[in-house]
Amino acid sequence: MENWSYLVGAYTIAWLGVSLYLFVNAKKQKGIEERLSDIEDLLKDKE
Amino acid sequence: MKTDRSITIIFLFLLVMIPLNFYLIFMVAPTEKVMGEVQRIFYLHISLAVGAFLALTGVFVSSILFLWKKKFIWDTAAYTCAEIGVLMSTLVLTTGSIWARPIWNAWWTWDPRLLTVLILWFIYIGYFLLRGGIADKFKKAQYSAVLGIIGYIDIPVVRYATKWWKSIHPLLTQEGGGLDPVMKNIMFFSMATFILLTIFLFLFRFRLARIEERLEIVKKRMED
Repeated sequence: MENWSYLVGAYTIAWLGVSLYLFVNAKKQKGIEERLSDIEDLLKDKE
Repeated sequence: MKTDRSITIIFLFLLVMIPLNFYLIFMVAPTEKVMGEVQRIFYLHISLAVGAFLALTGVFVSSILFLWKKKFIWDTAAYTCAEIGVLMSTLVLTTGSIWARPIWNAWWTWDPRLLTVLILWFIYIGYFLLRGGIADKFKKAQYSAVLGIIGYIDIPVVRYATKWWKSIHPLLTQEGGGLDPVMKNIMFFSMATFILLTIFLFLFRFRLARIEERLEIVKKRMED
């Protein structure tokens, strides 16, 4: 019974790690894309 | 655009492969006689290690290509691979430690295999510390490419550590290593899933890196 906790723990940590990595980068990408479009709009207005 | 399509295709494959991998590991794979249920960590642990080695091979190849071609796209590919390599090797060390606790009765032992993987992890942490410490773009890419190539020497050392030195780490990956044929097939499927996951993470992070670079260019244009 005790061994199940190690098994579940290992799989949970591994998949949480991968999911967290994807989540953080997806959020970062969204932020950068918004900033990029704002700057590009500003540049267009300037021109 | 091409990257976007590749990411979508791989993502769709993973949507099928990951649940199937879970089903095979927990419902089909037989329970190992000595270790019991906890041995199922093996499929995850080995697959993560394969993913880590693949990503670090990406660092090695991209670093050589950067030094040869002097094109920054190879530097971007190298540090993207390094990031995924660090993520995967962190998970290899963590899952290995969790597996070791009920089997070896210790979270960590100074076994050659464990030690060489830990050294590998420190090398690539050092890779990012080095990058953070250099302001000049070309020098940053050049120095980290050199470290990316030198660091890769540790990979064969990790692979053969259990053969070269006395080790308590099991030799489960050796050819015909006494693994049940069903277990072996499930292990290969799990490895294929994680290879695809590593490629997916790389493409996903590489696309972000390219967007970051575009932002830098646009910001410079704005300042001018």
